[in-house]
Amino acid sequence: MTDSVSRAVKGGRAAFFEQADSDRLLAMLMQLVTEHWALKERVLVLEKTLVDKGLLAEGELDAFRPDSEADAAWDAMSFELMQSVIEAARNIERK
Amino acid sequence: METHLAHELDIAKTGWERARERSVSSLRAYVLNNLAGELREDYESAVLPTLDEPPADGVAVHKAIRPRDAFRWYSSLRCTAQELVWNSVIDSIDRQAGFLEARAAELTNDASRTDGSLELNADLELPDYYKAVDVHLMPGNYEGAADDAGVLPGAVYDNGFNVFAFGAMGKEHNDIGWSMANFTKLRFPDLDPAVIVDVGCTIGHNTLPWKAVYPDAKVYGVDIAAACLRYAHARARSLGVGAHFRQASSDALPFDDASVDVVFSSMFLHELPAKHIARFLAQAHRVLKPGGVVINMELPPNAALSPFDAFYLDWDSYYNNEPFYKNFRDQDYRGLLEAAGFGRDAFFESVMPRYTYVPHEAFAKVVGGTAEFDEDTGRLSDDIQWYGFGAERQA
Ligand SMILES: C[S@@+](CC[C@H](N)C(=O)[O-])C[C@H]1O[C@@H](n2cnc3c(N)ncnc32)[C@H](O)[C@@H]1O
Repeated sequence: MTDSVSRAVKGGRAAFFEQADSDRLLAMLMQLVTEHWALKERVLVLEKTLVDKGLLAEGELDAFRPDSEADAAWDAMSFELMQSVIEAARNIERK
Repeated sequence: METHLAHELDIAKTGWERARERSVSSLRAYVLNNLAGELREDYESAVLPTLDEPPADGVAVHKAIRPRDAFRWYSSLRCTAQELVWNSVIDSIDRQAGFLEARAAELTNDASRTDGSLELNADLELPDYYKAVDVHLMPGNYEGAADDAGVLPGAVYDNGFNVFAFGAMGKEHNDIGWSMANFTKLRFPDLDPAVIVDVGCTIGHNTLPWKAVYPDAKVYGVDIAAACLRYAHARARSLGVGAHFRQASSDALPFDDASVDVVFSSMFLHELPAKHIARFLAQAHRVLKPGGVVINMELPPNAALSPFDAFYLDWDSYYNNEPFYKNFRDQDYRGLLEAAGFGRDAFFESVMPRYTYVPHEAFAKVVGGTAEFDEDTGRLSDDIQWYGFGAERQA
């Protein structure tokens, strides 16, 4: 990211919750949702492009079923994602 | 885990929806295995040593543990996971409501499938306790929020349960039925039941294994929620199991005196206020033939558990819309049966492994033994053990 355009706001913005941390977390969450949607749209574009070019049938991805090996591997991966996200926060301690 | 249902009420899910379900199951597994483990560890290493005296019961543990971060993380994420369980399936059900109703109607009308039956009672009043809260944060509760909810609440339960159980409760979440029916057969080898009744059967998932274990018996499922029974009937038809579903309250079971061989319930008593538990058990006593058996799969009683384990199970009563759960578990189960007319010596209880997860011999071995309670008793995790208790109706 360049810093030719300022992201800081002079005068700041107000916090509304009892603890300003909640406002900060909410702001981060919304930023994440935005980024999440960007990714999702990109996947939709990929899928549509593949269908339009005849490389993928309509609905093929929705009909897709992982074999048991992939199924188990994805279970483990999604579990690890949960674990890493939650544990990242749980390490934080007031010193 | 892929979470499709092995019967014709299974609904098509998009890849997005299935991926979401997987993620929620992972969150559940992480919270109930890992965070639950850390909660216990935190209690043992950081809370217990600071107390003047060891806590007398689960309530004392709750009080001491509430300010702990480990408790907040576990609790907040468990509530979130519970909400996500239902959220992750409602969209797909909503989208296919028409399909579900049509398929259920087709199955219901197709008497060539099984000789099973469905009898609803539109005059049945739902009790106040039942209307007061949506149990375990399940939107619409068992009967659905809409006036004519059709079969949709059954679908929410069935699909949600699949995500909820993260594979720990058996294929089609029916392991409790398999376990309790096989336990009954092993413990009462002379019992040759002609009539078996599952009370509070919901969608009949734990009702049907009884028919497999006792093929000659007439198997009934009783519940107060019409929407779940409609679904249960269609589901049983699709699975080719002849079972008979009746809408009735456990306060007044629709069976003659001394006409039933087995009264079974599963995860049912803890959803009833004390006076309805007493009424149900008295009804069980009334309808059972001499030599018949009442068997309840339940959470273990608080008295049998360490204060921490008691607190751990009580959590649901405080935070998961299970208002009667703790109250029930504070009771002496033998005493409840005795008050209903069962002989004090007729009482039995057992802690058993999950029938469909272990070899038959391993299961059979515990049935003869005395109940051994430990931290996995009734605690949903990958190591869960079921607890069951009941009594034989003496002559
Ligand atoms: C937790 S569910 C039981 C689940 C199921 N037996 C199992 O094994 O998973 C409790 C059920 O009890 C039913 N119920 C609640 N009060 C009842 C009553 N007084 N008479 C009959 N059924 C009742 C509810 O409609 C619900 O389906």
